[in-house]
Amino acid sequence: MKKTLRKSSLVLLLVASVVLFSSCMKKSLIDSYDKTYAVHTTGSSDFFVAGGQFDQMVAQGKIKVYVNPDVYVVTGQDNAVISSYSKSFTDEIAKAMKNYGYEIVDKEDDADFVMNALNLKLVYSMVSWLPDTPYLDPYLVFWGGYYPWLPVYTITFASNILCVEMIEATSLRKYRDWYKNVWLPSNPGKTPGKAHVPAEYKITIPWQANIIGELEDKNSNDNTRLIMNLPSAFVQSPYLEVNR
Amino acid sequence: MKMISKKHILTLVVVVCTVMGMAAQPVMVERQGRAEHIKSYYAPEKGFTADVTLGYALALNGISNYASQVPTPSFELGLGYSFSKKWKAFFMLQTASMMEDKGYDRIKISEYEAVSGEKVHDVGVVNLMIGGEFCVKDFSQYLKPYVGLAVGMGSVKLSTEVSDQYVFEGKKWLPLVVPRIGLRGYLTRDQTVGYNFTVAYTQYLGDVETVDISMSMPSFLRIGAGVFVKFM
Repeated sequence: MKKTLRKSSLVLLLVASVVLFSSCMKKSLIDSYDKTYAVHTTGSSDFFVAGGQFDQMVAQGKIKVYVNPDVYVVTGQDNAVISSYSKSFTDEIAKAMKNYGYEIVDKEDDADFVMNALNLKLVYSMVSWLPDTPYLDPYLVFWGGYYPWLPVYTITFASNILCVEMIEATSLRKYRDWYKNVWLPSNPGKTPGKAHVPAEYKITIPWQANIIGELEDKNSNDNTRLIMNLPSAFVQSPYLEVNR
Repeated sequence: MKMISKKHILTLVVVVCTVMGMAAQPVMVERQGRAEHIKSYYAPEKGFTADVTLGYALALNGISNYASQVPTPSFELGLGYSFSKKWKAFFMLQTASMMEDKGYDRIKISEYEAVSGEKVHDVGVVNLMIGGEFCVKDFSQYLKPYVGLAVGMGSVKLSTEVSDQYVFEGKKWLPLVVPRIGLRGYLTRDQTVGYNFTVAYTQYLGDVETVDISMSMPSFLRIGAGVFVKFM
């Protein structure tokens, strides 16, 4: 009896140790709201090869940029509306482009490049998540069945994303002409997919940035975080600078 | 290995320990004669052992530049066979992780691609080893210092996470060498259940890299404590 008790107490001691150690583990993602944002920028390597594109344009004079003043907010539920923070977003973009040596113009027709921004506020609900892993919908990822021993949570998460694109204006004009004169007459009311656009009419996007974080659903906080992170997108893309 | 969460490992540890405890079978000799009530116990020199230890891994060469701020629990499960009182061979599964919050940083992925944000580094290892152990001196039932050496293969996974939005991973299986010292002792009179303190130095042979670091010959020190059971 004594022996059994001694063994049982050892097991209990081990269990207590396990609980103690597990309490020191990293906090699960589900416990905290993250206020930090990530800024991801991608430049088109084809476009920026050795900076030749900009040198050539410099020879013809200043490089002109038009910053689209309307920043639309897309929620995926309501119709897109123009953000009340549009001016703050576009002012930051214009300021950064000026610092890199571009001339800001008021008319899109005069521009060599168009800067366009879009705010996505997306909410995903009823998502299954396996704690301490990157797996969303783990049942489907692993086996496609229900396994009650898996400690899966059902969570809601929301993303706040600002997409900024630098568009080569000549390609944009060519695309618009194709859309208006070729696509619409034969496909009224339809939007062309990427595959529908002939190669010579595809829009050239030399640079794009995604500023992404968790949506708090407080308009001022969400927009302020995007604006605060916007300069980073340009700082980490030094190849945008005009070769003066 | 991703699908095995820490909770599963903990459950496994508890189950293995409980089962091994139940399976512990000392050889017991009952003496007959005048002192019929006296029972003496004989601990077999040979037999299988199951080890469970919990510990912490402290980052050393290579890993310390990447993730050393927060040591997180490390688990070790071993199945061994004692050839004699001195010598033992074992097969071992070991996991460990180390992490560090690096604060705001900018990562250049290529000439035209970059990510910035709050960066967290995470190192996760899973080691499979075989090795041997030699009891240096058998002081008593409670005090048996030992030295050991294990070799095997380890999966080293580096993970750089930016603001919970982007994750960059680098993973490689590397050969490893693990010299260790420790202290064992039996806690029960029938010498079937004991404790184990261990300090092990894990040296990987090779390089592993991810988007913001190239790590050469990584190593870490593990300090652990646990129980073992002798059975069969």
